[in-house]
Amino acid sequence: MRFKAIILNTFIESLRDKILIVLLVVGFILMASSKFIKPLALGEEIKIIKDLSLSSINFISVLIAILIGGRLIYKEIEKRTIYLVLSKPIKRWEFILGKYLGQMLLLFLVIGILTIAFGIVLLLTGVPANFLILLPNLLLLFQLSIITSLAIFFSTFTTPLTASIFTFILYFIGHLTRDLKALAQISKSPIVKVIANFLYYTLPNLANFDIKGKVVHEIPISFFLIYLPIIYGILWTLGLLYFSFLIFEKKDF
Amino acid sequence: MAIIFCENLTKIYRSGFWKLKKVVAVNRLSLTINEGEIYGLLGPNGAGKTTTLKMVVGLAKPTSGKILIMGKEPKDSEIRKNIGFLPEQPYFYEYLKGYELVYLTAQMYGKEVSSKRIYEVLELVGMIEAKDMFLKNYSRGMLQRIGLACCLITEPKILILDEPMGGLDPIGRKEIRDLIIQLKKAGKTIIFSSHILSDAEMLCDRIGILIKGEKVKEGTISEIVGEEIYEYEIIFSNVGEVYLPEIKRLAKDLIRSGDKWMATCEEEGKREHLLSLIQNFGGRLHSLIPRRKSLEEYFFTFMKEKRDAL
Ligand SMILES: Nc1ncnc2c1ncn2[C@@H]1O[C@H](COP(=O)(O)OP(=O)(O)O)[C@@H](O)[C@H]1O
Ligand SMILES: [Mg+2]
Repeated sequence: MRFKAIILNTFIESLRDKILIVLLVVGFILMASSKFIKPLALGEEIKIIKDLSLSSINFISVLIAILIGGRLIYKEIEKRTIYLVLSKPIKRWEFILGKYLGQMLLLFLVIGILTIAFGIVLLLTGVPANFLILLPNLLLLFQLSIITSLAIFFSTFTTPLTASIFTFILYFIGHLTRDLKALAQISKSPIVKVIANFLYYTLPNLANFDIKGKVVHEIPISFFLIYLPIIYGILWTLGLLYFSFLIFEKKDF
Repeated sequence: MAIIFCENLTKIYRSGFWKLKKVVAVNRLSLTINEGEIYGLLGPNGAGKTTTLKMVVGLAKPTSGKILIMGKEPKDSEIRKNIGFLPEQPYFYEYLKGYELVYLTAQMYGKEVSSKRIYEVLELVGMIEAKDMFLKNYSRGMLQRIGLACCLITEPKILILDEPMGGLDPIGRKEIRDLIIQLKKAGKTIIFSSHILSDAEMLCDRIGILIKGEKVKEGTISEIVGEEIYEYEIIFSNVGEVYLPEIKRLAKDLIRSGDKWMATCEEEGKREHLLSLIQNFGGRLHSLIPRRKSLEEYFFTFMKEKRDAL
């Protein structure tokens, strides 16, 4: 595995970046703040702590995926460090895949650290929880895989800022796809119908990855709601990485 | 045996918003580099040197023409196991330390190297002291050296160096030159590009001159610019400050770099005088190098002749 070097390098770069520490600290603060929210009703406190912590993990890791992801490829082109890599016996798809895996390794670590912090919050507050509380983080990882691939895809042809903005927009729409479908059904304008339907069927649907609410409110989750999003996440990731590779393969540096 | 072979190599870049503007960066270039030789690809800025080297290492794709490296095409990525490439004005990962960069580079070749080997290479390029420094704090010359260390770590057969002496002071250039000579002795095939002839002088078995993407001349240096010596370059150290004005008076130029000095002069008489002065002052002589007419002058006359011919 020659692209081990690329995975390692991508990982080290993010680890030595100040933005990571800043975002992690913000995550800790958000989680700790749940201690100070006064519940409106008795028994709500447990839910608030869980919900806020899971949301913080979600928020911070998505932010890292979008901000660091957007510059994964382009920065190497812009700074010409790509010359160092592609002049080695490394194939271009290995480079893309190495970048993706390096970033996923980082996100895995981030979720791990934040989950440990979550565990500490639960221990300190004495809130009971079982292992099901980890399920949203599992699906989050697959959602992050789509986001990372989107960021990589955009950053093969646009600047880091543009790539991050595009990725963010798609993330945002991705969580509204149900609304899009509803819009297509209600709307009387055929143009709106067509556009809403088009967006619904072509853009990644990310809302299905979000099972925080169900877990926090202890609503039983069927097996389908776990493994379908996982398969969906894998397919989107493969597709996006494949297209990134096609664009990348044609490039001159 | 030809270790690198290019035939009718052409690269046309398309630029502008609609990709309508064409730039012919390399035009029907044929090159044969033999095993074990040092080949200098020379030419003014924009001549197409970088583009040619990028096509050889697979960073850019030729518009037309053929490249064979040890009989294989550049798109066969495995062939690059045999190549160490130093890009022009190399940029490295700023967040890495010197040692880490060399280690990662070896990994990119798919090779595990011992730390002993890494130290060896760092020693060779004179970067052992800076091994734990972040690359963002390296000077231009240090980047060039660490870049060379990366080229050498896995001992590839072929070294492709794009302006390896670019941005260095005269003494830095000389040190890189010495290193390249040492590498040739170790049996490497080396292609490097430069727009300065004096770099090529002591080094190259052959040079090719590129102008506007076309090879206009090829041969040994003396075949191309003649034997006439133009100036001498004397590098020395250990001469007390008080004696320097006297040396300065004789020399055409006197430049300091670190603890060494470089004096240049144009006549043989002055050269002898300077050498004896340095000796009398108790100085240490490091090198004496005769230089021929500069490539810039050669280009100048060459271009002028071409224009006059029209
Ligand atoms: N990516 C590119 N897009 C468009 N034109 C380019 C590109 N790279 C190089 N060129 C053009 O090709 C010509 C040769 O450039 P280059 O190979 O860098 O020359 P050299 O290395 O000899 O200075 C120049 O006119 C340059 O502007
Ligand atoms: Mg160049």
